[in-house]
Amino acid sequence: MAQFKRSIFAALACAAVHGSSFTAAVAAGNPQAILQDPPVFQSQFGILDILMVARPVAATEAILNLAKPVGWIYEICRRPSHAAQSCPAGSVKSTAYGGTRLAMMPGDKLRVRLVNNLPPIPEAKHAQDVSADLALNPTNLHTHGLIVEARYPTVPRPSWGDNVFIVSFNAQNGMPQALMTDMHKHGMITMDPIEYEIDIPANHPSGQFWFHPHVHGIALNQVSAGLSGIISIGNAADYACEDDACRRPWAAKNVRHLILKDAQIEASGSLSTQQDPKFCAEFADASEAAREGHCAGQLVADDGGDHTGGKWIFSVSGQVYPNIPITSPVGELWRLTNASGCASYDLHVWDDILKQDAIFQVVSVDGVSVTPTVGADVNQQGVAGATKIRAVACPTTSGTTTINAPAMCATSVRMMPSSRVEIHVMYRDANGRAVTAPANAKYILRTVGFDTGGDQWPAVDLASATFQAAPPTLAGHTIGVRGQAAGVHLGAGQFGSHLPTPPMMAAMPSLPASATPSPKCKVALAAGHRRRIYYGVPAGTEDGFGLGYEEIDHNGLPVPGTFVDVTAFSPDTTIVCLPLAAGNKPVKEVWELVNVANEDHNFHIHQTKFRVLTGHVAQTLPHTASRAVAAATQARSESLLPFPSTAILHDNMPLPADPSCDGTIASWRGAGATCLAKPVVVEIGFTQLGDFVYHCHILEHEDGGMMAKISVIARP
Amino acid sequence: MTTTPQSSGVSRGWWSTVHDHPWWTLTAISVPLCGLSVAWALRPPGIPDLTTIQHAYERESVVTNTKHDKGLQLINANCVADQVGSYLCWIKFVSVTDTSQRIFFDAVTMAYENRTWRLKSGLCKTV
Repeated sequence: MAQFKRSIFAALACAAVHGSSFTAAVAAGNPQAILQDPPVFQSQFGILDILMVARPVAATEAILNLAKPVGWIYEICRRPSHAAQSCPAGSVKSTAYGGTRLAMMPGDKLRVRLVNNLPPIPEAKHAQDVSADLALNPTNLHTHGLIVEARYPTVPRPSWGDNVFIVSFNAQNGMPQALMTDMHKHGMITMDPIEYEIDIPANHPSGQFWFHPHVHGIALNQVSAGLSGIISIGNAADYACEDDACRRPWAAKNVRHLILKDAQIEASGSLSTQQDPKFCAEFADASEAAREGHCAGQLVADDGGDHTGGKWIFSVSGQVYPNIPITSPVGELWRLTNASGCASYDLHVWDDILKQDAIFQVVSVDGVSVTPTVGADVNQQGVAGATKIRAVACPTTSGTTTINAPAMCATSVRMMPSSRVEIHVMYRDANGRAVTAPANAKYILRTVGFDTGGDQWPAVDLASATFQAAPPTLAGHTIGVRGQAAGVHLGAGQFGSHLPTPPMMAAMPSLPASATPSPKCKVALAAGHRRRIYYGVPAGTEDGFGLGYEEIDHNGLPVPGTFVDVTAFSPDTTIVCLPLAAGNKPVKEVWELVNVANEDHNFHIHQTKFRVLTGHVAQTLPHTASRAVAAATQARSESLLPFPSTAILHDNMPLPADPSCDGTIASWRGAGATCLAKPVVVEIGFTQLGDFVYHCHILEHEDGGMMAKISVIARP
Repeated sequence: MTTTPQSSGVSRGWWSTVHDHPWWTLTAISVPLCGLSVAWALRPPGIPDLTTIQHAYERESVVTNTKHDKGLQLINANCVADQVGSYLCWIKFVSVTDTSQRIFFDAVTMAYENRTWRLKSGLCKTV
């Protein structure tokens, strides 16, 4: 009966979020709702022009099977008029809590009119940090992972690019105090809707990206309340095929978009937007019901939070523990997005018949298809994957397994907030070979628990998958992937060409005619020099968050005068400033990332991608490992391995902590240093102009100050 | 039938007061009228707009404030009355020395004092 009720609620939820123009998932008699793909708005004639209203869920909009709807959503429709404030009644619109997909092609233009209809949020942790203005709940928009300009509006072009230095207030909540020091000095306040116009470069990689608010101080609250969606550029057929020779490009019907979004619902029915990582125990105890889509709240002794009777819901595209019927004989591509504000997932695909982790193929990471390095072993593949991917050998047609195959396989992916991974899933035998599924075959997509040093993220089953008992029609055991990751490292620079053939336009996005060099930072990083970024705790704070900086010369010594101790974010201070290369060509830099804190962080940088040159080795584990073993066997302070592969590009990356560190740079270097943290070395390509940020994408940390400003300017 | 004031008790009392104490009555009437006139004269001449904010900013930028940015040109303004008699305005402006013509956004406070619109906050005015 409970399951039947769940299916009805799920069906109602689907009907609500998909709106009248979308097919509702009505699974009468089915104990589990069928996973529905998010609603889509597709660009037309090179433009996607939408109205996006951030607002609370209405009482009539059922979400997450909740009796009392809570949370915030984006109501999205095609822009009805230039100055529209709401989607007209009867128009095709999406109010999907799980997230809407904005589908575009390389070279398209994304126009968004963002309207803030959010309620005040006085309970936010940082609501009073600068003034009371954050309590008024201003918002904005960031297109995460897109390699686009962080443009300011100008008189000739009065729209914003992907720039987070603007916030829009809802006048209904009251006017902001104009004395607020941080915002008004930088021209960041508006009471009007924000007009964005974002140019997708014609040579932009095809893949999966996402959008979310990015207001420093309340980003966690807004994302945790539900504000996010996804962006797809191009099609899977741009890089994936059913066969190595690519005679059969991948069909769009065999692609699913799984948006992982969590919500902490207290016993009172209220939503906690200031998430507590201890809301649930990491693992279920004997008294707890099966964790299918949620875990039970608990009393937290050490911080006084009592979540007893509450639920932490881990939804998939807005549905709670849906089923995924895999009917295609070539399997499916699953595009996974961790849209959580804080939660990290260690995702496994568990074969419930064989009682072991299924092998799957990793097709893309952070929106760029992978280019596995021939001959690389699993440790090297793991380094390229920045510990996100627990690589294993791929099965081959001969029946043996080898990592030399032009594919990357894994048994799990570790996804910190903002991470995206695309995997190929089909039924496989114990050796990973694609075979006909037995009649009762069942996979479970689950996170096994993730210990990030300071926090333990819970183990929860997210969805199940069932199979049609038909022989696979793949030519081999893996699919063909024409990785775009390697293409960006060609001599012409970042995204100098676009794979697969024929080469797409190689031109950089044109600079605005008015682009002028800044009077400062005219000098590029000297040859052989690198930047070092510290993740730590600002002096004078016990549990604060901040970033430090220094430049390192070719001998590995700090360049005098460049050191900035760990400090919290200030929009007043540009920490990194660099010009593009001669002719405004792309420039590449090497950065060292040092986590001197005693908990994991997640490095993310806007407007670009990076590859790992030297990184941590992800430990392997048996396919049959228990959840607890899997959660415990994580890369922390293991040895580093230099492997400058072009296999994978990232826009976010785990920085495992070392328990020997105390958050200070002093503990890491100099006399008496005790912190054993090892730098992760990455190469970053810069192509886009503007002011943007790099930060920890655990949004509690970002809101707390673990962010810094970077400026990329036109060549003087 | 007469319609003199005396025909009604209420009317008669009013007329009687005026008739018996003409100067007091005139004063009682004229003072409020004068007050109203003064208030009318001092009232804000409508809601501040782009021009008045620009003038207020230019006056302030000349007078004082080391942190006050110079050379700002408003291009848009919208104002609403706040609860303490001032106006809160959200504005767009450019810096005349910025060749990129970047548009800045801000919120400012305007108050009508001594028959003049004054910029109380915003546009980098710190107090």
